[in-house]
Amino acid sequence: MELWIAIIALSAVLLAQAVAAVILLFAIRKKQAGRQTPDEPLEKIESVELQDIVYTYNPGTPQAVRALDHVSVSFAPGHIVGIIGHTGSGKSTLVQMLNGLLRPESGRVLLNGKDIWEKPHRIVQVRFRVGLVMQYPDYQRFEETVEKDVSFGPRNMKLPEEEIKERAERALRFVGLDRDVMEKSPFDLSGGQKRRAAIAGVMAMQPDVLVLDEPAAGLDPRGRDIIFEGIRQYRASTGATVLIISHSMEDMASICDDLVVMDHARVLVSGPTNEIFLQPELLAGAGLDIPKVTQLLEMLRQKGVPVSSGIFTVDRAVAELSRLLGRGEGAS
Amino acid sequence: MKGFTLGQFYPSDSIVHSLDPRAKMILTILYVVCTFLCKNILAYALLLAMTLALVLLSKVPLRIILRGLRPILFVLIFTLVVNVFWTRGEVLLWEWKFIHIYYEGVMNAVFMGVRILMLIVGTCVFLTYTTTPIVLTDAIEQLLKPLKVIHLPVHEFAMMMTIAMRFIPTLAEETDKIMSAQKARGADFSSGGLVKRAKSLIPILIPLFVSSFRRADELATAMECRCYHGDKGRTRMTVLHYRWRDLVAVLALVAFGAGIILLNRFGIGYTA
Ligand SMILES: Nc1ncnc2c1ncn2[C@@H]1O[C@H](COP(=O)(O)OP(=O)(O)OP(=O)(O)O)[C@@H](O)[C@H]1O
Ligand SMILES: [Mg+2]
Repeated sequence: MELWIAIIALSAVLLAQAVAAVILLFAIRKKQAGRQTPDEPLEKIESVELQDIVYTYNPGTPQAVRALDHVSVSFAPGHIVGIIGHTGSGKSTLVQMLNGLLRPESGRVLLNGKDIWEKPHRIVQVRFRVGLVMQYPDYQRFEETVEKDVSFGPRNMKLPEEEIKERAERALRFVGLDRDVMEKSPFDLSGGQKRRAAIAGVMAMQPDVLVLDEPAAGLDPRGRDIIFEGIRQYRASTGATVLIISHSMEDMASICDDLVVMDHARVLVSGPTNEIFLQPELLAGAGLDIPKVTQLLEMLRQKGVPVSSGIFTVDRAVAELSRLLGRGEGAS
Repeated sequence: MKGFTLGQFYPSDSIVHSLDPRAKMILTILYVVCTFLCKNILAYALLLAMTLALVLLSKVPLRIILRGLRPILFVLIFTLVVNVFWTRGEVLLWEWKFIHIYYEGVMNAVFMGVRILMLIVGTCVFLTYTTTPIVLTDAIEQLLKPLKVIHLPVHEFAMMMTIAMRFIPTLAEETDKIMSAQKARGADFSSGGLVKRAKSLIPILIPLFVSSFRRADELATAMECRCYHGDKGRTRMTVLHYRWRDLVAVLALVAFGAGIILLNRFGIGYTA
C-alpha cells in the first residue's frame, strides 16, 4: 500500500473521529442527569414487563423516527423468548429499554413490578441484573487479554477478586472458550470467538435476564450451535430469563419457548412458539416466514401426504417423515 | 447525527444555492470586507438591508437562521456589555458610582452588535445554509490551486477534509454503539474524581482507536483499488463552471461596497 494514501486515509479518519467524539461528549454531558452512585444490588428479577412504551429517535427534528409505538409486552420468567420482526421494526430499541440504555418517552419498564426509572441513579444496578449483548458486540473489546475483557462487567460490580476470576472462567466455559484463549489478546480472535467472548462478558455478570441481540448473525452453523448451546446451558444452570433477537426462524423454532413478533414499531402478537408458527399468514403480514421445514411439510400435506402439523424443527420433521416412511414400507 | 454531513445545509432551489461555490467564497470575503467598512448609521442600514435581501433570496426561513444564532448569543451580549461600560466619550448619559455610560459607548455597542450579527448571518447563508461541505472543500481546493506552485499539498488536504466529512456520522454512530456496549456492562462515565473519570474513558477510547485504524486501512486499500493516485491527471465528475449570474452577484456586492463607502461620507449622527 502506498504510504501517502494511507496517511491521507488515516488523518481523515482520525479527524472525523475527533469531531465525532467531541459531539458525543457534549451529548452525554447533557443526557447524564442523575449521578450514578454505587448502591445496594437489586433483588433477583422474577418478572419483566414493558407497559405502553413510546420511543422516538431524534425527537423534534426532521429525522425523527418513532421506533416504539405504545409497546406493551411481558416475558415469562425462566423462558427463552425470541423477538422477531423485519429489519427496522424496533427490536434492538425494545431490548435497550430493558436495561435502561434508552429511556422511554412515555410508558414504564417494570422489573419485579417496579419502574426502573423511579430511581435513575440506580440504573447501573439494573444493567447488572439485565445483561444485554449488543447487536455488534465486536465493538467492546479493549483489554489485553480475553479474560480481563470478560472481567470488565464483574469488576464494575465491585466483586472480590477471586469471585471475578471465577465468574469469568465460568462464563468462558459456557460459551466453549478454553484456557489458552483466555490469555490471548481479544484482538487476535476469530469472528466467532470474538462473538463468544462478548457473550461471556455479559454472562460473567450472571444476570437474571440475559438479552442477546442477534447473537449468531453472520456465523457458520457450527459457531451458531456453540452459541445457542451456551445460552441453553446458562439458562439451565441459573434459571435466568433469556431474550433472543434473531432473523433465523429455524434457530428460533429450535430454541425458543415463546415468541414476540414485532412489526413497524409495535408488538404484533406474542405467545408460545408453536402457536405463533401455526399462523403463517400473520407472520407473512409482518414480512416474516415460518421455518423452511414447516413450509415443506405444509406442501407435502397439500399433496395429500398425511404429515401432522405443528412441526418446526428439522429433527422433528425427520422423525415424522421416517415414521411415515416406515409405515408406508410396512404396508407395501 | 444523520443530518451532520450536510452541516446546516438547507436544501432549496434559490439563486444563492445555484451560485458557483467558488464565487460564493469570493462573495463571502467581499461581504466580510463590507461589514468592516461600515462607519455610520446609514452605512449600517444599507448593510442590514443587503443582508436581509440576501436571506430572502436564499429562501432559508428566518426561523432557522435565528435558531442558528443561539450559540453566539453569549458572545454577543458580552461584547455589548464590554462596549457599553468601557468606552469613554464626551456625552455622558448616565452615571452611578464608578459606572459611566457614554453616548459613544452605546452607539459603539449597537454598531458592534449589528456587525457581529451580520457577519455571522452573511457567512452562514453563503457557506453553510446554501452550500454543502463537500462542495465547499471542492471549491477551496480549486481556489487554492495556485499554491501548488510552492508545493503545498492542496489537493491532499482537500481530499482529507472531504473524507473526514463523509466519515463523521459513521464514526459518531460507532462511538455511540461502543459506549452503549460498555454501559451495558456497567461502565460508569460520570462519577468519581477527574482521574477516575479519565480512566473510565479508556474502555471507549481503545475500541475507537482500533476501529479507526481498521477503517483507515480499509479505506486506503479501497482507494488504491479504485486507482486513486493523487490529482495528477485526475478528472472530475462535476466540473465547476462560472456563469453569468456569478459575475453579476460579485458586481452587485462590489456596488454595495461602493454604496457603503459613499454613505460613510455623510456625517450623520455618531461615526465609529
Ligand atoms: N441511533 C439511531 N438513530 C436514529 N434512528 C435510529 C437509531 N437506531 C435505530 N433507529 C431507527 O429506529 C428504527 C428501529 O430500529 P431498530 O434498530 O430497533 O430495528 P431492529 O428491529 O433492531 O432492526 P434490525 O433487524 O435491522 O437490527 C429504525 O427505523 C431505525 O432506522
Ligand atoms: Mg437490531
